[in-house]
Amino acid sequence: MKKLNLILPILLISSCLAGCSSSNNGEYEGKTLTIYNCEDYIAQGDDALIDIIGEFEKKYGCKVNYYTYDTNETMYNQFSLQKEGTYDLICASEYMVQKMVKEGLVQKMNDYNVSIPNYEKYASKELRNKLKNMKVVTDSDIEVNLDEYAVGYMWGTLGIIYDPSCSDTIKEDVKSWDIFWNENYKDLISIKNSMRDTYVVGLMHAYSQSEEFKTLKEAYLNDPNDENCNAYNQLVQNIFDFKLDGSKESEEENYQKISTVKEELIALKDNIFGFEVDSGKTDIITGKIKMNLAWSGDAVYSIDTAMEESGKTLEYSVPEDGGNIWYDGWTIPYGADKELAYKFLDFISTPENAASNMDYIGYTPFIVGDQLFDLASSWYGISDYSSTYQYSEGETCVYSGKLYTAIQDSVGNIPTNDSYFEEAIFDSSKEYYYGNVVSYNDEWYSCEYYDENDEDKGIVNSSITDEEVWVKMDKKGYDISYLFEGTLEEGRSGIIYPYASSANQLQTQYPSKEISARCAIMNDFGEYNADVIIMWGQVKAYTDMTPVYVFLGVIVVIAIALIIISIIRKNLSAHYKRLLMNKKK
Amino acid sequence: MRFKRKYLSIPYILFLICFVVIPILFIVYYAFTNKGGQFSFSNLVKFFQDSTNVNVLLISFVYAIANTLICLVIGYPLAMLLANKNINKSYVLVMLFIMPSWINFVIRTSATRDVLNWIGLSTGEHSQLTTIIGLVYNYLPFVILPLYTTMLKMDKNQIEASKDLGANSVQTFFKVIIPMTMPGIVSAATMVFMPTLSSYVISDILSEYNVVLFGSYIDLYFNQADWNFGSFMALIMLLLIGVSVLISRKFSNEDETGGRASIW
Repeated sequence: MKKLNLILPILLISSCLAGCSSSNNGEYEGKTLTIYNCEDYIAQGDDALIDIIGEFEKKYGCKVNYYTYDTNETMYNQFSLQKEGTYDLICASEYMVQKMVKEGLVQKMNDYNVSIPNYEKYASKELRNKLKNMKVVTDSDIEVNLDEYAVGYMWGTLGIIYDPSCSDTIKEDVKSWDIFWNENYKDLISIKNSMRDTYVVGLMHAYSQSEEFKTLKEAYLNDPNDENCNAYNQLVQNIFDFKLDGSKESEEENYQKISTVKEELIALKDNIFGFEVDSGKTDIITGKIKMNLAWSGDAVYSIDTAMEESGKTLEYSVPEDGGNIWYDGWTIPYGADKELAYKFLDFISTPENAASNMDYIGYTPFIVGDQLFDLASSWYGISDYSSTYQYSEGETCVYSGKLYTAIQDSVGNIPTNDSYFEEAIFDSSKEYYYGNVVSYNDEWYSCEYYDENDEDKGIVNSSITDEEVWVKMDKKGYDISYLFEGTLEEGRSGIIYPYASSANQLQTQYPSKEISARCAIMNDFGEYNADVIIMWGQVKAYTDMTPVYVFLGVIVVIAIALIIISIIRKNLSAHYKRLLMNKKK
Repeated sequence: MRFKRKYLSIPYILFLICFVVIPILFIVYYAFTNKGGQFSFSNLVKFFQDSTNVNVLLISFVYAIANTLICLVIGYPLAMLLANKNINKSYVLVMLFIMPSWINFVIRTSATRDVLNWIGLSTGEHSQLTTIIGLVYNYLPFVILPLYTTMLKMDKNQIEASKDLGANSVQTFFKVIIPMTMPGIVSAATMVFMPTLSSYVISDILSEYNVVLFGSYIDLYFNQADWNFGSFMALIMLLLIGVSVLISRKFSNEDETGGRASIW
């Protein structure tokens, strides 16, 4: 909604980058880097704040061959058909990375301190720990973790994007996956036509009903300490994982799991509008459907587009029954130009470039730091004062507990400097615009006034009690310091104070600690993948077969009848012919 | 070396080898090997073990038969009207029916989806009906055109003769006109039946993936990187198409007592 704010400072940075690059020019002249990435998954072209690939080529003087795929499976097919050394860098989801590591297709990364210093410096420690916790046993029986093989790129959750005006109770209903089976919403729901994502829905719906689950969930919600959090998260993870110890009981349990999910999904199929590949985003905006299973990054994009194109508010929620958290990362296959690949990974791991990616594709990068924090807070609300951020006129920041608004563009001036900032205290005679924040009687209010016809129009003589215009903000804010730990400017808290209308979107972009506690990683299904595919096929093809049998039966009967009639008629006519011949004689 | 006329066929033969024969060999290879590349019948066993696979095939048959019948029922009278010089004096009307098929069918189908939803026929709620509508809409030109051409070539004297000899119009229609247009009917039916059996974009878009035809079922396995099972099902499809070609040839042979007009 307010994406323009950051363009200027970032443009400045990027022009500096272009300027600085001349020193490196020529080092990689004549070399090519072949990248295989998901479609629309990098900031590219004129719409991007920084055209990552173009800038990289300029900086290092090399050529980048950029190829894209649509699903991880397509990528795997394509990649395994090519000869070694075709690709230098491949971006894949965590389960696919696991599979490739297991099959020995990708190389171990060198010490990040030396090879990719920016990643070491700016990647969120919390997220890297998640990767470190993902273990893979390679075909040669060595246990490794994913952090050694993959450089985290984007991450997010799987949840429900919904139209809050669809029913009075929807905000309560989306707290559970049960909503997809709820007949009140019959034919209003679209599900991703994707095996793994749909599997999550069926799985969590079935297994969140157990007593054990409810107890641990309650315990965590009542007292979200580390111990309860871990116990809860571990339970969700256990639900996701197949037991791969090879014993008979585990095997039975795994098959039981697949058939439970199958039943759930067949029941689900009756209640939904349909499956979608790409149409879900537009269908929810046009109102054809009211709910859609979505990845957080796509949800950010949809919420934005819906607001911009038709003034429609959409929200996103990760049900409290537990869900899926996913990580995409870069891997280096064997035969790759490792050195240049590292240079590229280092390049995209700078906060400026990561911010450009987040701005362009909507997904949340692994990279954290002031730039990313500033970008998020400029979109969704306000945050503590940052000495590197360029405040444009009218933007507000928090400084020693008070609100200050920039009266002219400013970078590096502390808010008490009254030639650049003034304290933001409500003054009814002033003109206020959407996104302005003021304090009044020790409470903070954000201006939600928005004139659809004239975006530049503000409101004068407003009353602070007018809830159409001024909405009280939560002074506690939204804490994402667990992700940004150690990367923010000294003394700056990792709290964003969102505008009332943006709180949900901020939560979509950066899931809170509470949300990630109830989400587990969906590991590679391993040997059970084949069975899950069969289950998925059965679910997709499931339909009432009686009319089919009746129809085909009738057709067969008619066909047989026609054949018999034609045989009889042939015989009859032969008979008459003979009679005629006899008569002639 | 003297130039012989048959050398002209070399490019075509090369084309056929590259784009027809070799791909079919690949399909056969994948169909009878397992993931490790060893020869096995496991896909055959897998196919007949799970009734879902056969059911999907049966469902596709139902849609293919229904589509063929509906297209013929709608297309036949229409072709008759178009071929009748008294009613249709120019080729323009024929063009109007054929023209939509020049637009890419994926685009046309997406538009159909919006139109159907707009008139209140929800593609999610009435998936089966909307799929049939989409199929008929897409394949109707393939029925009209062959029927129209055979009807133009139809011997009008035979129709008059049948009337002279005392047949009423119903009898004339069934005993003279239908047998005379049989080659058209057969080629129209084959042009609809076989593509419908393997079609999947139309059913996917217009049923919101609720109706799964054999084509999309094969696609599902290819998408999940199970080339072997997908290829096996593709092979089954190929066999079915082969069988229907044979059947339709038998039909058209029976009726073509005169000069053979078939391209085969």
